[in-house]
Amino acid sequence: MSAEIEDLLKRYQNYPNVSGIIILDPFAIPIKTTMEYTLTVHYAALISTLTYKAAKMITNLDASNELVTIRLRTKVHEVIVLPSENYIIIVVQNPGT
Amino acid sequence: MASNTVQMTFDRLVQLPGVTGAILIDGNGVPVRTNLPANVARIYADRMRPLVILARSMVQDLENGDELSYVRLRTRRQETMVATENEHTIILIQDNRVLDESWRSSVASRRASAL
Repeated sequence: MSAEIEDLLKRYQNYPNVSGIIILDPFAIPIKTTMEYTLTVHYAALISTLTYKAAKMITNLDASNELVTIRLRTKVHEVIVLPSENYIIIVVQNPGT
Repeated sequence: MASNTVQMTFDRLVQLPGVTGAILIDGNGVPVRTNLPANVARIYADRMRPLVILARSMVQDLENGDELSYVRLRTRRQETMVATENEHTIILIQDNRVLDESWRSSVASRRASAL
């Protein structure tokens, strides 16, 4: 588990424009983060709520379907959420264009 | 005037590769234009609305002055894009395989032009 998370962190951190990575456990508690703590907790609370709501909505629309990623694009930056069985990965990046 | 712009945008988006469904929703959450059956469009509009509202408030909470441009929900079979910048909302449903192919060819052509 821990080695897997470390590998994920290293892989995603090397991409250009990535400004922060947070990994949560299924109870929305941050396990690893590259961001400041208060911001991490803020992201964790808000994005975990959105993730659970989106996953439930997808299942409601089509019971055999399953949520893979969420991509939130704002004016300033982009948040990519990857929910999986054991943890939720949140990547915050600033796209160049 | 704004409505015309949104309609033209919608017409352009429907022609993107892999689009299996498209819905244009006005400010009251009523589907205005769609290429899906009316009841399916209504279901999508009703489900997406609370999600977009939550995402919009979340983005404003995280950073003052920031605004949500679009949300992409990728599932195992298809990808749903919900674009909402003004009164109107556009929902696009795209097939994963076609989307990945067009993205891959776009990256390849960019790389070729860089060489």
